[in-house]
Amino acid sequence: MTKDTKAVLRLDKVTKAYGKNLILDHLSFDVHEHEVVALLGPSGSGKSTLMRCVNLLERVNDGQIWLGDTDITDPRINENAIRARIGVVFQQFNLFPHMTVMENIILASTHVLKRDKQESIDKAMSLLERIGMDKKAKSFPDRLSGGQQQRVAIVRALMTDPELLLLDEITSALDPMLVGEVLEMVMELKEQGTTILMATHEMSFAHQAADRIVLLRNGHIIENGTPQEVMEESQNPQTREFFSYFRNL
Amino acid sequence: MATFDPSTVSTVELEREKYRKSEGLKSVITSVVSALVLVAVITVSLQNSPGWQQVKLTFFNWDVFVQSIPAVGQGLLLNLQVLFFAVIGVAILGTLLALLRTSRSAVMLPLRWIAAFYTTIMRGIPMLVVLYLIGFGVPGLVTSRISPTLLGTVAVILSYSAYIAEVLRAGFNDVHPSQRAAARSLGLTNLQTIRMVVIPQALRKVAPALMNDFISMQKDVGLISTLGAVDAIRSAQIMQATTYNFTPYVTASVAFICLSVPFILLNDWYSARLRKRELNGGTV
Repeated sequence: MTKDTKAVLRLDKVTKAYGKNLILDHLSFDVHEHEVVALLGPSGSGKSTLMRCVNLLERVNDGQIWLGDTDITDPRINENAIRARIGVVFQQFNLFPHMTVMENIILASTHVLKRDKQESIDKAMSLLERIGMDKKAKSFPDRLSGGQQQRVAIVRALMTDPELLLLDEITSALDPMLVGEVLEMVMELKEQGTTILMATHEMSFAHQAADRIVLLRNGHIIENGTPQEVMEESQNPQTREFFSYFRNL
Repeated sequence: MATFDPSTVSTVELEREKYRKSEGLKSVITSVVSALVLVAVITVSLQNSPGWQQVKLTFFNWDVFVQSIPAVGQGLLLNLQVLFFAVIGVAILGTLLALLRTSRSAVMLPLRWIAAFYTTIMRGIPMLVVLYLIGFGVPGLVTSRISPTLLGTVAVILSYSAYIAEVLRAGFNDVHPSQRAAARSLGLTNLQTIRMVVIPQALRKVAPALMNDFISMQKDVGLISTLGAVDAIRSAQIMQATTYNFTPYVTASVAFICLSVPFILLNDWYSARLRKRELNGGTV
């Protein structure tokens, strides 16, 4: 990444502990505009905790997180306004089961950004059309396949035009056939220039889609570079050990 | 997508369907016959019991029944009014108590304690005592006359809110935390999250329990008669006092049953639908 591109997200010595158990130990890295950063690491390495800190679902114990020019760890900021600037997609989709697909998608647009309802519906429809799901607008989430639910969840996260999209292991609850359709959608978003920070276990996808890979282990960053540098050229024994589990897949 | 055409099924399925239909018919006939037998047994044993004629005259007197309908019906209108306002009051107070009980903010701590204390005490006191305490205690406190209907309504609200609050609290806690996380991630405020995500899902989960409490409340509004409000029960009592015939109470009971049956059926239907949805088309 060149120096003049703007950092959308900047983590500066971010530290998080549950009691005395240190989860994130002084982590620092940036996510630049139009960049896709994949957060890799074994279970328990702190990926999800980091995502939750960025989305203000967890409070950091030290360090700062900047979203654009805003220090989002400052207790004086309006948390809801910050959350609306970040789109989040969860592993378990977390669509609201009592609302239709359309109601799920336009909720933040109409109630957080206070946009016109018809305008929101039109926008949602065009997004749904793009993923071929406009006919499902009136369906309830439990009538959709896992892959369809997750794609709806992505559309819901995109409705507020977020500066940053957080994808937290979004394919971990899907079978291999459905993983494909969700990842295809992420590739499309990348081509449109969406800034994405994603935690994932899909190594080949991370290699293909990510501009940069941040490898976490026990709350430390042990690698931060291009997929080529991290996955193929690294001589770090911990890195090589981690990727060795995926070589034969 | 491929579609299923029921007219093209194999002979195996047709044969199975025929068998199921004949089995279904058999079970309908069996249930009709057993119901008729049961009614016959009850009728015969009642007719043969020595005091039946006397009981029939004092409790199931058709002429008295018809005579009592206007007064009891008039009284029932009061019960309906009380029920209407009580439902609104219970919905508001019950939700408020449940929200206080489930809130986690430090500011709410004293209120949370009060809510916990209130629901614990209120669910322990017999309804009749609550009615007496409010109905006779409050006028004594302010030393002026207050309509017994109003006091009765307040007592019903105070008592039932405690039960409803606990049912709602169970519902709120049953909504998975990931739903809150998703809502807050979209930028919704805490209040918006409660109103648009938590409450609608919680209501769905506890709807059968809530309707059950509603049905129970429907008949318990009859207890305001103990404060002297002239409702259906009180009207029946007045008639009974003059005629020495208990049939008006039966009239009032029939009226209350008629009120509750639609909601009981609605509740059964809704519970069955929820269950069906959870079974997702299974047969066991």
